[in-house]
Amino acid sequence: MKILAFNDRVHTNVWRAGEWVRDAMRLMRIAAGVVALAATPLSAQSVLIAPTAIIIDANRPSTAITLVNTGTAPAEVSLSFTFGLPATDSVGNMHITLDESPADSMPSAVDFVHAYPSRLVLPAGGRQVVRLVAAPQRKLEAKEYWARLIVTSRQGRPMAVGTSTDAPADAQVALDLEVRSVLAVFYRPAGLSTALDMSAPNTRVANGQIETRVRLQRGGNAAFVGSVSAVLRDSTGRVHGKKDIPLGVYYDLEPLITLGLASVPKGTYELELSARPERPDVPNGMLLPAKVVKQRTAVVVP
Amino acid sequence: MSLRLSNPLAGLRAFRLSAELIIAVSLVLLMFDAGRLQAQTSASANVTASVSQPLSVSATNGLAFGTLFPGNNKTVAVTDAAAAAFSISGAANGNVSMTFSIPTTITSGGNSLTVDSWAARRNTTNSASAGTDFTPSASATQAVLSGSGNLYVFVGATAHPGSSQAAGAYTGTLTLTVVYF
Repeated sequence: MKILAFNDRVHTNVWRAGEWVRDAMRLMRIAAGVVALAATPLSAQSVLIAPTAIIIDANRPSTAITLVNTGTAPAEVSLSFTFGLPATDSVGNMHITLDESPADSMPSAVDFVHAYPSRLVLPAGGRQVVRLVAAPQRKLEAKEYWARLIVTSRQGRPMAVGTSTDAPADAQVALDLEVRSVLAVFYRPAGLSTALDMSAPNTRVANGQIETRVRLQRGGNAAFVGSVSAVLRDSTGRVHGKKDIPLGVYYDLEPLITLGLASVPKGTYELELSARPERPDVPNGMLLPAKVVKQRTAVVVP
Repeated sequence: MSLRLSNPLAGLRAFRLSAELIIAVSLVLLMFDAGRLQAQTSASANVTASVSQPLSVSATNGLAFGTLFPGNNKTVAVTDAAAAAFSISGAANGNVSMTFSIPTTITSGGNSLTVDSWAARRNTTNSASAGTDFTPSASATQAVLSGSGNLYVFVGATAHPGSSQAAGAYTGTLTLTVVYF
């Protein structure tokens, strides 16, 4: 079973050619990705979702996800919402705690974002457009509201148990698999902005790699969604290592960023960390603009 | 009747928009006809586009203990072909959090059977022979996708049939939840 999904805004306003084409081009990009991945060999059960962040604008408070089952078995799919904010632990690992009933002080969109339909059965090769609608019942403050979309899918029949209807003469044991993909949902009233502050990095060489902790603190009234890049350069400017990490900073994070040193000779290098509002899994037009921030530090590779 | 453009560049823009629109619609139509696309092996085309990396979570192999004998425990190791297997793909170096809902007993009608000693291994290549071991549970396990955006997870466990275990097809559900940051 394979489920394909892509996200596109639903148009309910006056038709505007430029806007339509911009969205069409975005759809084209996503469609190209879906086509490319759909051409891979079928697996037993798969959920594919693009983009990986769902953004609902208050001016057009509806968006759509299309689910496509390109597998050979029916797929049972359900959609629900929960709340959760990314955080980092004491060593910089990122984690998230999902909470269906967040505190009232949290900017939660869980109670006003809905999926229609929220349960469906997709036949093999079938597709279904699921509309995500934001309908806040109260006047919202000028800040971003968040939720997490859970897309649950499983095959209509167990994938690991024989299909014979004859009663077995012994004990046969198999477990079916269910997968749940949890994606970020952003609801944006008008007047949102974001920014990021990056502290001086705390760097050490250990475990055959450069390990860096850097504190990221969001400004503005919306999450910073983008990437942090680490680039290691020698005195001539030659790049010896590079890594881009996609992330979202809702309030603050202090992630661990590692850069392998397997092919890096001894010497003194400059490590540059930068954060920019770009991610390979989210179209740029969906991200809030923000100033690129950078920090540099010297690193000695023994 | 004549058509005059107030801006000489407007016609050019309109033509460009139309061309982009045709390309977009064509690609969308291709998407919904992926099966035929795969079947066409004699034609090829180069397409240049900016592709947003999607998130994919796949269950590629169910956990199968096969036939059990009363009183004889059976373990499926993470390296066994019968181990459960998942693959996750997304943005390169993307952080994900994984949690599992694991059944402690599985049933066949009114009969039940205990499954425990759950074990898991994750690897950025599709091989269970190496990687990082962890215990699948409701507690989150943080992982980072590879530089090409892949992660593979293998899960095994031990089934404990009783000495008078009733015959039947025992089934349960193992759930993997992947949170994308």
